Amino acid sequence: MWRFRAFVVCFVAAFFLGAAGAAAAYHTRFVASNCNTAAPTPTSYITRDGSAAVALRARYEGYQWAGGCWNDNDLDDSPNDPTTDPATGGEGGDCSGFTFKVWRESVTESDASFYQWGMLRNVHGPYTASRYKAGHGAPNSTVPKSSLIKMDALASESHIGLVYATNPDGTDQIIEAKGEAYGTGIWTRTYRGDSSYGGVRRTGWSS
Amino acid sequence: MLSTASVLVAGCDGTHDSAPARLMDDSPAAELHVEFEDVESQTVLTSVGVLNAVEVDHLSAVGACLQQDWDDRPSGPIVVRVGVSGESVTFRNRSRRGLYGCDNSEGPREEDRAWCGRVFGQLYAGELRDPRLDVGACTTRAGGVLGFAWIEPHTGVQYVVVEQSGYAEVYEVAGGLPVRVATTSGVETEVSRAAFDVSEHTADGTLIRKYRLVARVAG
Repeated sequence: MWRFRAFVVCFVAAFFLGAAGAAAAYHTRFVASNCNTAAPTPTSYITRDGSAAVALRARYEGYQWAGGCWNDNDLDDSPNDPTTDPATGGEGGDCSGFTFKVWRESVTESDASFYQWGMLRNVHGPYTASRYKAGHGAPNSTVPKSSLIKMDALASESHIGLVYATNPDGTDQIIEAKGEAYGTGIWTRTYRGDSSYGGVRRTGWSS
Repeated sequence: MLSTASVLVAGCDGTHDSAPARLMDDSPAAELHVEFEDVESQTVLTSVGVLNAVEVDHLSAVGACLQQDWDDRPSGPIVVRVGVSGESVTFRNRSRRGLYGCDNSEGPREEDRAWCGRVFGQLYAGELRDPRLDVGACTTRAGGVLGFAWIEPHTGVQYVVVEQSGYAEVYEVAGGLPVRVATTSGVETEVSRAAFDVSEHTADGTLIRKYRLVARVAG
């Protein structure tokens, strides 16, 4: 009988410890502890290499639905958050939030000028992948996929990634905030040949 | 003279001393003979129509929405809604894994687009994981920013009620699709977020549930 009671006690204890652990993983405090709402710095020009440098600082960082805040420690500081839950407050942008910051855009859609956002500034911006695909907003325009170069984007209804480099075989190295299981990084993709993707370009590059 | 001036001023900033009598397309708001439990604001019934693709005039605004560069064709019911400040189209694709929509308002828009807003939502077992907020692109004539979101009503719900500034908009569930609702209050463009004060009711107005939906632009 005592063995049965011991088993029940252990089972109950294990259950609550497991639940507590799961809750800690789901509700990180990355945004609350690290991110800010500082104003962006207006800048008079942007270059593709400059934006690539901005993008590379997000490489190896996390992914957060509706997110837009990351550090540069080459680590996903909040892995395995439930997908599509903005309340988990984890590290990273989602695909459109990442693009918004790399492209140095304004939260005002009619404003095509350039704004440098800090890495730890938590901002997503008004655009979704679908709206980027349609070229919504003054800074964004649709372009033929054949014309895409570094730091242009390929966007579908549900995802957007930036061209980092083009491979000799015609595939692209895409830098993107891919998902909770992947974080933000560079992968070879065939988005350019996928009919569900369209070409998008940020207006106003100096070089 | 003073009372006339007061009436003129009351509508300028988008607030209303009484429920609006007309919808965005200048049609009169239909009379609604339902009392909604726990809703104190005067209510305005938005209009809703359910079409299928072959019924849509290609030259119409709805046609312009369907002909956008979507990754798939519409399939099944196409739900068209007109409210006081916003209107919308919602439809699914053939695989039933995608929900698509267009949002609109009376304000100016870039490039003379027929629809100022556009939205896509992935469906997982027929359900959204996110209300797919669209905010910042559509404005009222007075310059107020609209936010749009999809509500997935609870079983048995016939009406979704959304509080506005000075009145409440009533949306009738239709077409078996999520209900696209709009708000002019609770919109925070700086953080790409909007809050909707929602109540869901049965056909006789009985309250099923009441909540505040805080939606963020994502994905």
